Amino acid sequence: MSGMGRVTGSGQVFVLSGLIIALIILSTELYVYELSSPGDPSPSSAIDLVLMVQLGTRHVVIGSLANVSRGGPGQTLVENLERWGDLVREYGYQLGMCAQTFSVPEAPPYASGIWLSWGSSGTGFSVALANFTLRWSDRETDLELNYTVSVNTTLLIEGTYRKTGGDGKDVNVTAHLFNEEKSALLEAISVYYRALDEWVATGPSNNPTLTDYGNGTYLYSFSADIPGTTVEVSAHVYDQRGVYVQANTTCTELP
Amino acid sequence: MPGSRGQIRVLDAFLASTLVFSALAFASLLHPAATLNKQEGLGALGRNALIELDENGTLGLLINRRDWASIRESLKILLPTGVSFNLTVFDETERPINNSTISNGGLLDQRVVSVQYLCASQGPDSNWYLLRLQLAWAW
Repeated sequence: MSGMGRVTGSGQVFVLSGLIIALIILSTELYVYELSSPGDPSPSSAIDLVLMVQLGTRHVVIGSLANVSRGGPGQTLVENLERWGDLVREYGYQLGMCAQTFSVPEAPPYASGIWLSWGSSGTGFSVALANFTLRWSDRETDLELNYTVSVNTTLLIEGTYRKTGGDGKDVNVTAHLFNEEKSALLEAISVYYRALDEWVATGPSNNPTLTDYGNGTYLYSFSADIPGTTVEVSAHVYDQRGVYVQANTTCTELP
Repeated sequence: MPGSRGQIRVLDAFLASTLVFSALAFASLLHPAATLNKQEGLGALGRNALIELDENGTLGLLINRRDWASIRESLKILLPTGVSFNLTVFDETERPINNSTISNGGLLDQRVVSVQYLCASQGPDSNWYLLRLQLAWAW
């Protein structure tokens, strides 16, 4: 019987060792699994989808403003947002049901979400505004997000001139460009002056120079024969997003 | 009873090895889930890279210019080393428009993750594109 007892005891040690090894293997694997698991992927997918739609929507609004400000049809923003909404519904299916609706301000000064104000007091701006509701749902998530996209390009100009003899004048036009109230760089600028009730574009004969201060401020200098003592200038600017804006001002005479 | 003692030893060893192998078998069941999460992580990496590139309108601008080389170089920078990718750009009619491969080599892994991305360009012409980014771990 004592022999049997020794055999059983050795067997228990055997089984116990097996159990311990099994537990070590399982706990190690579980620990590695916990460390390597990035968690539930669904929320990140939802955030990515929302970011993708919002980014695209913003680009559509900027593109539409660029189009209308360059003389395109006034309904461009509405038409583009309708088409964009269709695309979002069509391709958002991969991550659930996705739909985006929008509204644009129609009351003056806006027309179909666009407000172009190119005044003569040295300030000009091109603005696009739209409100959106993005609905997204899948088996686990039901999300509704309201947001607004407001895009604007603002141009401020100031002008000075100095008489150089006869009708000759040296004119300096300082332009400040802003995108959403932050300084922005321009893509192109044309400056015009008024002579005998006509706007004349400055060209090589006016020896124009453009100084870029690198912070959204530019100094445009030129010489021209402008009769009288009133010097009116107009700056026409495209920002780097392709949005057009213009502003007119009357220059101040320097002694 | 040496014969029955031997049988009991064999049974003990069998029981112990069964425990160990069951643990190994159960542990191996965890791996597909881990692989699935790894693949989901790959998809998130791809989406993040495209969002990063699209943030200031660069992605749409490069597609408008048909500058496939710059898109490839940007993705090489934005995606971690060890991820191979292949990007196809479709127009609104779902016709592929990239006439050269936007890839950093072949997709070596059998498990390829595909990410779709809608991109609108900022220009006045309002061009829209559908991007399909395929990703795989290079090892």
